[in-house]
Amino acid sequence: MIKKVKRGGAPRVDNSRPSKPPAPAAGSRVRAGDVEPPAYDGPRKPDRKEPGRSNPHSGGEGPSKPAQEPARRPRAGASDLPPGDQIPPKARRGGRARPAGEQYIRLRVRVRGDQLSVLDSHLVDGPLGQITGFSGANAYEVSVGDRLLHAGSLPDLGLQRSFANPNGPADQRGHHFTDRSTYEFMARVPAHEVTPETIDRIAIRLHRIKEEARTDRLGAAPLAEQFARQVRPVAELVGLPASVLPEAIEERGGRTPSL
Amino acid sequence: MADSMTVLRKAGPPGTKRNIVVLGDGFTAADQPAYDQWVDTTLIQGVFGHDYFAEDASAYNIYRINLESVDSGVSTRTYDEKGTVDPSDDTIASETAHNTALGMIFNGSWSHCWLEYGANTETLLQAAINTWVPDANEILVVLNNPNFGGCGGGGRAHVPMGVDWTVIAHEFGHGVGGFADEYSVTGNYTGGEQAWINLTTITDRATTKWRQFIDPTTPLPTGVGAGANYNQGVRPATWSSNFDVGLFEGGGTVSTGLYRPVENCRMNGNTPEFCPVCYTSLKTNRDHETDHHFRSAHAGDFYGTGRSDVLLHHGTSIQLFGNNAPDLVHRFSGVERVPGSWQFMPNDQIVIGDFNGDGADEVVIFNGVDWVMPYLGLLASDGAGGLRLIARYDADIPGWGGFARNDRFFKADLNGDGKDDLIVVNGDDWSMTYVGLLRSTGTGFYLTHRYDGDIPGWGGLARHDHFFVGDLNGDGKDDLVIFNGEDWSMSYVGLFRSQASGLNMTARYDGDIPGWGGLARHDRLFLGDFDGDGRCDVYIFNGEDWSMPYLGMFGSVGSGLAYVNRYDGDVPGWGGLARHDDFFAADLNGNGRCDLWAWNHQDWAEEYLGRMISSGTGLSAGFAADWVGEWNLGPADRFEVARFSGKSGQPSLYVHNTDWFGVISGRRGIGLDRIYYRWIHSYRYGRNW
Repeated sequence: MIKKVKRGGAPRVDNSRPSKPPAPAAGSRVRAGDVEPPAYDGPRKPDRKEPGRSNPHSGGEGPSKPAQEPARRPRAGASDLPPGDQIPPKARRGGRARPAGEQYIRLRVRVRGDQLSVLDSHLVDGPLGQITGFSGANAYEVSVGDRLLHAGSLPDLGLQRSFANPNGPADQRGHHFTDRSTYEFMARVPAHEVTPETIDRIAIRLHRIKEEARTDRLGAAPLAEQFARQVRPVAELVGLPASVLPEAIEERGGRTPSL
Repeated sequence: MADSMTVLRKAGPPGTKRNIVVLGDGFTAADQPAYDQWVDTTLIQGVFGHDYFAEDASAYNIYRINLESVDSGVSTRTYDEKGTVDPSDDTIASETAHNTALGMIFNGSWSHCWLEYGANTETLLQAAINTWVPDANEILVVLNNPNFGGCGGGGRAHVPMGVDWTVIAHEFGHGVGGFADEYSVTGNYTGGEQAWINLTTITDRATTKWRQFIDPTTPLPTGVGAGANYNQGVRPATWSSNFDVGLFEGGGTVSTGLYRPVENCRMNGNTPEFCPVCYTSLKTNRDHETDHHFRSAHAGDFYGTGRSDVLLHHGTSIQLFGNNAPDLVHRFSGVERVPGSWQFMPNDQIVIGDFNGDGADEVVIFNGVDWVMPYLGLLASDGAGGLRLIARYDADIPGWGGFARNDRFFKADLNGDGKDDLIVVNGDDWSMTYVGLLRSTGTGFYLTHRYDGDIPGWGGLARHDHFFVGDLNGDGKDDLVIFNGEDWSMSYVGLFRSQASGLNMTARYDGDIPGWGGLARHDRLFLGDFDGDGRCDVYIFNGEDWSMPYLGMFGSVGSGLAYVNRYDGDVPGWGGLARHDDFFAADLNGNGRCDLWAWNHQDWAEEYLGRMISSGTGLSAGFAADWVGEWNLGPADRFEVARFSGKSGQPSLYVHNTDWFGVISGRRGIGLDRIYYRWIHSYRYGRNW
């Protein structure tokens, strides 16, 4: 590979291919008929389409369109807006039919000091995305052994904030904060990771964020390894109850609506 | 009326988006319209109708749950606060109990968070969410009470109806963004640096948190004193209290000892937009949930300014950015659909043109892949900067005989009425190739002509016919050029004049256009009026079939093409034509003659972008290698001819790939006007990478 130069020399020539005849002078009148164009395999074009003969490389296998109707301009004021939505190929009608695709489990977790407990769990249809930045007050992670399953940020966890009172006395012009001793958050984890074999080893950790943590791609290691400086674990639960197994959730009707 | 749920915005699967759930309490069946109206006004038109949340609307699913209460209005409670804001010794002075869906209580007391849960509220709330929505990240509970107030935290906000959208947007700054308040009330901060995004104790220019947004000429600190604005030196006349960044003392409710980024951000005064620091944090942290990218970018004059705006199609959402020269500014987000309705899908084929002749562009979208049947839609201005569907054709437009997967559409003003029409072709899905002419009425289309297998004189339409549109005879009506180098024993070019009777062939070139030295299989045509005579001419390039690449110029004489010039192996200044040269026709210098952009990323050690300026009879070229300013040219780059600024011609190229969007100017040389990473936003100083 070579670089271009502003004033190139002779053009790169491939002598295995033919050259065109010399170009006429710029702007000169040129007569037709002096050139033998490259020939291919197909037929020569007729002057008019021959009845009953297919054009080359026509669809061939496809049907023909129905006979053309006379062109008709729509009446003034006529609407070209049909009612209803576009129809997807496989229309799904409401209900709770189980899709074959991905699912995740939403865990409602209670925090009391450094203790975590699972209050409830639900199964949600669809893929689970993974954020790559953690800011605000806290973050959680769900892991099994040294493998991160999912992590999320909890920007304003554990506090209650009354809105500023714009017409109140001076000391009410800001929020009134109340720290809560017991509070809850939602953790999420891909459903296929929660099995009878893994459930005892799955850990939920709550971290305090010391400094905004961000990466282009979150790795498979626990957050404390990936962001050693930015996060500090403040509460942990190792081992989940059997009630969060996908089958158990499904059995008790704990799947949320699929829209 | 029973309880129900309405999806107000369906951005995508719940596990890949932020899910905002709105619930109402104290609304009877008769009150539900008022609740719906509040949600629309405050959340949809308010929060999601402005700045950041409008821009990143595709990151958020929004669900509205309608819960029917027995009583209208929520319970109330009044405290005897003993004259202090310490709630620990307060006692209940009075109560009114209402039977409501969530059992919430409005107390109107700042120190009691204005409202509180009843004994069963948490259970009822969880039950409603689990019953009606797939997932919830942010919960907004609206109380049927007319007063001001509100209580937030832990991903929830609870408000009576006397709260406006700017307060909710501020609350979402806490709940979604994790931001601290930027206002000051009282006190001095003496602690250390913490994980705030928008507050800092660090005043050193080299290490302070948002240093990338601070102009080196801005004094640091910029404002000193309790809740200070710019007071260190003379505040520049152009200084923006919202968008110019420095270090201003006061924030996090304390008056001194902490610094905020701007004089007034949404986290301070509610009404202003998020400042560059908060905005960038939100954009960065929510970016992956938007599914935004720059792969499908389209230039069009959607606002009738004469300059090119930008439409970004993200698969299932779109964004419009208006050209407020010298910046591109977000004007509209359409998530999943636009009213009418048209639903966006990844295989949408987009054609931009002025289909109603109003001087601004509309959008035609065809999708023959993603739905149970092909659809064609016409989207026009909604009068508020956005788009709405004004016509849709399901599976067919009368006379065409059925849309099919591989229908391809070209815009062309076929009757010279100032309204762009459509030419539709299909050489793949039927037993023969079809061409249809769809006339625009301004509010829709109807078919005027259909050509089944042939346009008289062409000798048969074939699968590999390539179609080009341009006004060849200067009569104000767009004509058609067809090239076929694949299907016959030689290559053909046909010229078809557009008339009331349809398309009439004016010339056919069998195997050669005199002066070209032989049409060949891989000839590529580019149409443009290179001599400025009002008639569209033809450039032909072939880099494949001969011993060297050739570029020819053929002027339109109205009824045919006349040889003007031919470049064998090189155009002076381009440094050598090469096999994979590509071209985009545009009047780069605004002199009325159509020039060429030239692009090659395959044949040389570096990528080259060139401009070939037409003198009317010849071309002179120049190029940029590898980089255009900060833009690193690469194989993934795509280009859209545009007018970013100026009054004439199309001197700009919108260049884009997955992560980057740039504006290249070719009016005088080749330079970079703008470059954006991940999102289009003009910072007063600094940038997001």
